[in-house]
Amino acid sequence: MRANAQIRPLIWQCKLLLRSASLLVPKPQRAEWYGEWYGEIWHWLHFLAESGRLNSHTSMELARHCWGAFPDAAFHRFSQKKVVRAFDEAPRTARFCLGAIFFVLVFLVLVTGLAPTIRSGFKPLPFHEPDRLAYLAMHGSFTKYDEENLFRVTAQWAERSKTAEMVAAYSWHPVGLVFPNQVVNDISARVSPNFFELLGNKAALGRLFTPADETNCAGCVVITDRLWKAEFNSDRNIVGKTISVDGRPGTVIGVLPESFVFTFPEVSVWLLPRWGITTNNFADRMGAVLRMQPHATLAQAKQEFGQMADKDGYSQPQMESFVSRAHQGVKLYLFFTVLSLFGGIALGSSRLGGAKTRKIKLSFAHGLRWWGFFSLKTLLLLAICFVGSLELTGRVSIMLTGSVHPLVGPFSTWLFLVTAMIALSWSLYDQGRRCRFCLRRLGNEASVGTPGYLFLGWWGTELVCSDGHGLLHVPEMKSSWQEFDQWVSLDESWKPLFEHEEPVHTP
Amino acid sequence: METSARISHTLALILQTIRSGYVYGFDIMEVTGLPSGTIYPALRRLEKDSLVRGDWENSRIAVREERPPRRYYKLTRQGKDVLASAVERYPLLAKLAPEEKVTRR
Repeated sequence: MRANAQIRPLIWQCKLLLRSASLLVPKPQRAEWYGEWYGEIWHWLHFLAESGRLNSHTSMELARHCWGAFPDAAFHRFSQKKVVRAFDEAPRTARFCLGAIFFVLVFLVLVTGLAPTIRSGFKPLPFHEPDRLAYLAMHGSFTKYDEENLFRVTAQWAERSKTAEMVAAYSWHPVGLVFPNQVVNDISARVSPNFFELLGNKAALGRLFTPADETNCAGCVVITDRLWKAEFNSDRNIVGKTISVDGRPGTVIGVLPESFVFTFPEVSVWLLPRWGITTNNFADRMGAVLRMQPHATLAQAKQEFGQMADKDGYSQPQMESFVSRAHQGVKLYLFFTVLSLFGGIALGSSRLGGAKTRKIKLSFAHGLRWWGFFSLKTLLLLAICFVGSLELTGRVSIMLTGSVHPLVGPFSTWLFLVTAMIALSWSLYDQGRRCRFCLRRLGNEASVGTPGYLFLGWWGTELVCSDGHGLLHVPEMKSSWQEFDQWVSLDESWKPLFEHEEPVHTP
Repeated sequence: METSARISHTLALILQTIRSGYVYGFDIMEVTGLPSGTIYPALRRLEKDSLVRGDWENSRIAVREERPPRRYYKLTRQGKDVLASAVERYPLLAKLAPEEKVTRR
């Protein structure tokens, strides 16, 4: 059985595939199975070589033929009927549906590195006594304020205030960070020198700003852990090195700890007020943070700072505690989850949702399973939307621009709302196409009636539960066949038709 | 005759092909255009249902010709009956049937 040199490599490749596939065949039948396949391949290859038809195309055909050995071998080990049925039926079950959605959720969580953004929402804030910290955010569309004035007045507010122990201002800008091989568009923020002291943070490397830096070290820069890792390759000797911010050199004096989070947008470079030329900045890009006196309440601080800000010409200032803002994402998710769930159940119970059908009364146990499955499925889908929209938008922004873009926050909220609506719609649609008793997805769709002359394909569609619990009649549109979906339960006399001894499809 | 009632169009086509003289896997595959992943499992099932019988060719001939032996399939009596009923059931099958193979390897 010598093979000529031209086809010998192909024979070996085929033999390797056939030997691998033959492992699936039970041992007593293996030799005979292999013999038949090998005989076929051998003859085929020689026929191709002798007839001059051996080329890349026929070699590819041969490879496809060899791969066909795997299903053949598998059917020796497993019952073909059971395998075909398992592939056809398993994805229809409620358990598979929930399992698949759960798998996607777990996969998404793992891919995003255990959802760090969401986890940070549950972690204690990385500040000293965070319940005493509050934001004073400025608002106003297209309103601009003088940065220098903000830094000056916040120092005055700190002196006058009875509710705040310390006050510091911030104002952020998009900047270009120039590195030897690239320019990264990122976000920088000018902050009062007591900003980090107010928050109670310590540097992971080097030091943070002190009040003395305002006069002694106007060109000092503090960078975040992300920038340090991404652009400086976690250089332990970063302190004292120079970084170019919008073309101006700054000296890095420290790196913030990894746990440090401020608000959106994610600021990468922290500067002092006298960095470069101060300008007018948009109202929603600037504000102040304050540490309240130990016995002062947020309401008292709100009133006091509202009056002071109003007096100094800042309209519509809004105060919010750090803790409350940190939990905003979780609150948003919970709010929309509850809203979607109740909305979904309300929709599903009405005829608008499509899950409601005529002429069916479920027992309490069936009803519990029906709505329990719907609730769990919807909750898991909403969790996927939440994780996906919150975790992936930031990552995509970093991938595309090298930084977390200021629009990431609003975009992730928008994305969550849109994907949540899509998820809820699909959940309702899927529920409407399931057996009212065993929750299997209905199959064997059959068009009913005759094709319409205008827009309608058929009068409607009929679906059947593969376990024979019933039929679902779905009109193409109201009155094309019947007004609403109609479920027809099948009694015991129909059972023989749904017994699975006989194969549904044979090859 | 019960088998004929549940024989699929694909199985009927394979039976028809074997009857026309295409008696081993590759030949059947080439004539029907069906992939190997379908042909071989189908042949196993037909053999299991006693509609075809697979026989190894004489190994002495194969050894003499320095090549591996092949497995040939032929219709059983039951297979012929089932095919006849299938042709009645699937009238288009007769049109799809391959021409009789003149020579046989």
